[in-house]
Amino acid sequence: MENSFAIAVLLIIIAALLFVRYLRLAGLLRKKHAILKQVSSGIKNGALSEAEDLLDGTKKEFKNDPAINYLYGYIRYSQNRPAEALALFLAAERSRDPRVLYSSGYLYFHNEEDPGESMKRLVKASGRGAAALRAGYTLGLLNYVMGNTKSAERIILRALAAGADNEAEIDNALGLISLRENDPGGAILRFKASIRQNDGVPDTYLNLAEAHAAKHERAEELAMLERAERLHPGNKHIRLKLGEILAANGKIEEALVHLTAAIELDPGFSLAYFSRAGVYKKTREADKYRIDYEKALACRRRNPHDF
Amino acid sequence: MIFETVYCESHGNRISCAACFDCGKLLCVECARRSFGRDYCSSCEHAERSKQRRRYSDKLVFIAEGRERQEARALALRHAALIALCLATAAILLRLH
Repeated sequence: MENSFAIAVLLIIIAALLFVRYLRLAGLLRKKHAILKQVSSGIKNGALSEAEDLLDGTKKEFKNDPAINYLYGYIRYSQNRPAEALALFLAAERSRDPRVLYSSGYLYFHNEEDPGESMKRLVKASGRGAAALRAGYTLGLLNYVMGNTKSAERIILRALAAGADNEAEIDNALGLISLRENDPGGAILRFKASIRQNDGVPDTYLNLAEAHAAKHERAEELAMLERAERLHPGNKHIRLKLGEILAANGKIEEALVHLTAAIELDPGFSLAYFSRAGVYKKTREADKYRIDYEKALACRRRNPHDF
Repeated sequence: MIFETVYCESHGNRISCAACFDCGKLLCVECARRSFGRDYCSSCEHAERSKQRRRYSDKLVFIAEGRERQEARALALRHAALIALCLATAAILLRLH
């Protein structure tokens, strides 16, 4: 009987100690959340070094905390250090935080080119939480890259219906899917919708021009590229495409202007050298042809994956 | 002739199951890379991906809202459950006493 009284007293003491422990941990948690809030607003405002300094101050107290690792990871990504960012996101994954799964899935897709690992994470992240819409869009793109156009369309449309705010990007992606499914008419509508929302993306014009070409609307293709060139004169890919089309239409002088401009914009642009070599071949200027062809090969050797 | 067995160009002893969509190289299961619904060799697949990647945009978006609420709730619940267990057991023991 006395034993049970002693145990009861002991349990009451343990409960009191647990309550004290809770108060201490809750205080620490509040402190951590306040720091996270400050760091998050720093990252949003582009003050990365200040945000990193704040995080460095928490290293002792919150070592290996998933939320801290996520913020470090995003800062590393913004500093163009994707491998370090991925390692930090992977360390944070034990929290099963959807934004962490979205970030590691994104890096597995775009940087590691590992669709399997990316898919696993993006599927989980797209189901719930604040990252669901962005993860849904990235998952749609992953499916598109894998050739699963039907799934890609379904997933991206679902993200759009759920309120994704990157409508211009989504319309462009849906246009690409339509192109892949041999529906250039549908693709044209999507690309035009994307441009209406954001005309600052040169690649959407290139995609639209390609859709017109797929529909054999050569005049519209050229008109679109000329418009794109007026809006984005410093885009080497638009200059290259314009040069190629003009050369194919026999407008050699104009073609050479654009191809030369593309080379001036990027002296290591092998495709532009190849195209200009093709034009010189047509005009039977053997020396110029040989020089450009050799330069194209040299550029390709230096940077084999630059397209 | 049509039914002649063809072999992988990189692994001569393995039967080829695909040809690269771009360069036509014969590929075995290990060498074939599927991308955009087509089979490529590794270098053509890389080139195709680089070309395609320019055509869409996708940026890693920073998401400020994490699991702070869940974390606080989990801490409170865990402690509340333990405290309740201790107090309930103590109450039973005191009644017995």
